[in-house]
Amino acid sequence: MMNNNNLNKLLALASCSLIGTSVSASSVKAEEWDVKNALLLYSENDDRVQALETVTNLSKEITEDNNITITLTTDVLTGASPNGASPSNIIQTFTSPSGGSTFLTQPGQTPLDDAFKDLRLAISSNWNRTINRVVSTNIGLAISHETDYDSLGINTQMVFNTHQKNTTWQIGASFSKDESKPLGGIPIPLLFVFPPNNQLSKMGFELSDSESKTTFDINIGVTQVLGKNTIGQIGLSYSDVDGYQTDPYKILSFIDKNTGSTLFYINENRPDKRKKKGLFATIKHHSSNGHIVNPSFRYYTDDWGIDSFTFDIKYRINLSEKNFIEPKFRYYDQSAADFYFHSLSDIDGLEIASSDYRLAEFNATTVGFKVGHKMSNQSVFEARVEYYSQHGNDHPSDAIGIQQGLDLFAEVNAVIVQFNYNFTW
Amino acid sequence: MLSISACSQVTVKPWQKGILARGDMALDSDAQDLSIDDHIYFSKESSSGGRGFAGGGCGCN
Repeated sequence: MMNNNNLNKLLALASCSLIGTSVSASSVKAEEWDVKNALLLYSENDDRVQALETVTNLSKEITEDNNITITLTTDVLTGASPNGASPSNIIQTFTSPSGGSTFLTQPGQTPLDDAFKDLRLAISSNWNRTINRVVSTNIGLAISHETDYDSLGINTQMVFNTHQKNTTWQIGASFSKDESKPLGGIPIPLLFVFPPNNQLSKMGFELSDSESKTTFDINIGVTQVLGKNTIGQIGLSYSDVDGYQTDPYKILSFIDKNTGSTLFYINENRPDKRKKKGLFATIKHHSSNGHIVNPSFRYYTDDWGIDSFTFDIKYRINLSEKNFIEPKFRYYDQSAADFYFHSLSDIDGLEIASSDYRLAEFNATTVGFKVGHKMSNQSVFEARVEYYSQHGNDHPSDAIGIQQGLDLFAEVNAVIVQFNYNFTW
Repeated sequence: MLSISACSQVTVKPWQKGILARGDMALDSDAQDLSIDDHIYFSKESSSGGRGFAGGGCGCN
């Protein structure tokens, strides 16, 4: 029979933090590290982004009331990425800002920059401290470095347990500063992009070498035991981003307002302020047949004009105490940013504009499943496979002339494969 | 929409929390997967956050 100490720790897990942290499993002895390793393989259609990511999470109980966690992440990315230009009915030639080389796009195809390569290293750490039966606190630090982007952040939260730990309140805040140092420098917003064969294209007009932004987040939430077999959580989040948020590598096509042919390209420009709000809810229910159903909902809105709704559901089928299979489904729907255009035919008075497909109106589904096996030495092996598919407006009503026969939304499909191996050391 | 005051009247005693104490009943039992998902969707979509902070810390969006 479980003693109260272990039970309290498991309850902390059950009513765990809304914000980022992972409390170590109670079965880990004080002198042991709880190690979680993940290997992610991500592959998009049409030779687009291919990514390999490793995540190692180390967690240890330093004393009965103090737990530390360290997470190391590496990301390797290659493959082609849309540069924002629109398909046309002729061959298009572009200079790749991330490679300095030129690339061609065939008629009818979405322009994709294939010189995109990146390596990212990130480390984060968290210190969780139990103050007393009611209160615990957490403080964390996160650092990330890529060839052209750096980020430094801190976060903190407080957790309060009430009603015999049937109710847990969480409040947290974080602050981060990011610096964008793109290859070729920060481009001048909305500036004409010189063709690759033009000498002026090599001059590299730039605003500066780098620009930064700051992000402040606050979260509040409550986790509530709803019955012997059910737990739920709701939360509100608010985020304030201030600074450079433009994608320095993305451009827009300017088209002829009668024929729809591409005339030239300009650099994109996004607002330097963004306020985001989110509402999140989830429930986990253990049914009498031993399976666990876990639906979640999120509503998001920001002052860029984007509203979104996310629904996901997992159903864990425990085949035995050691094995499970868990199908999963996710549905996502977003509206377009106010300044999203698939292409431009008028730039009079234009101050902000982007053709980044991720700012367009679209919906997306994810389907997949995960399997897990607990080994005799208590280590756990898991594998998941998922398929992600976006659906946007390929033929918008404002398409002009030759655009009407072209696919104007560069939607992405991707296969996601992940392996987890967790053990104590 | 659940009423918090109604919920707070649900009192499950500690000795009744055997199911809730299971590792797979923790709301962040798949914390590693959730974090990786947040990163993927932050890179491919325009929303962020929900369960926790707004994500980011990368040049992927």
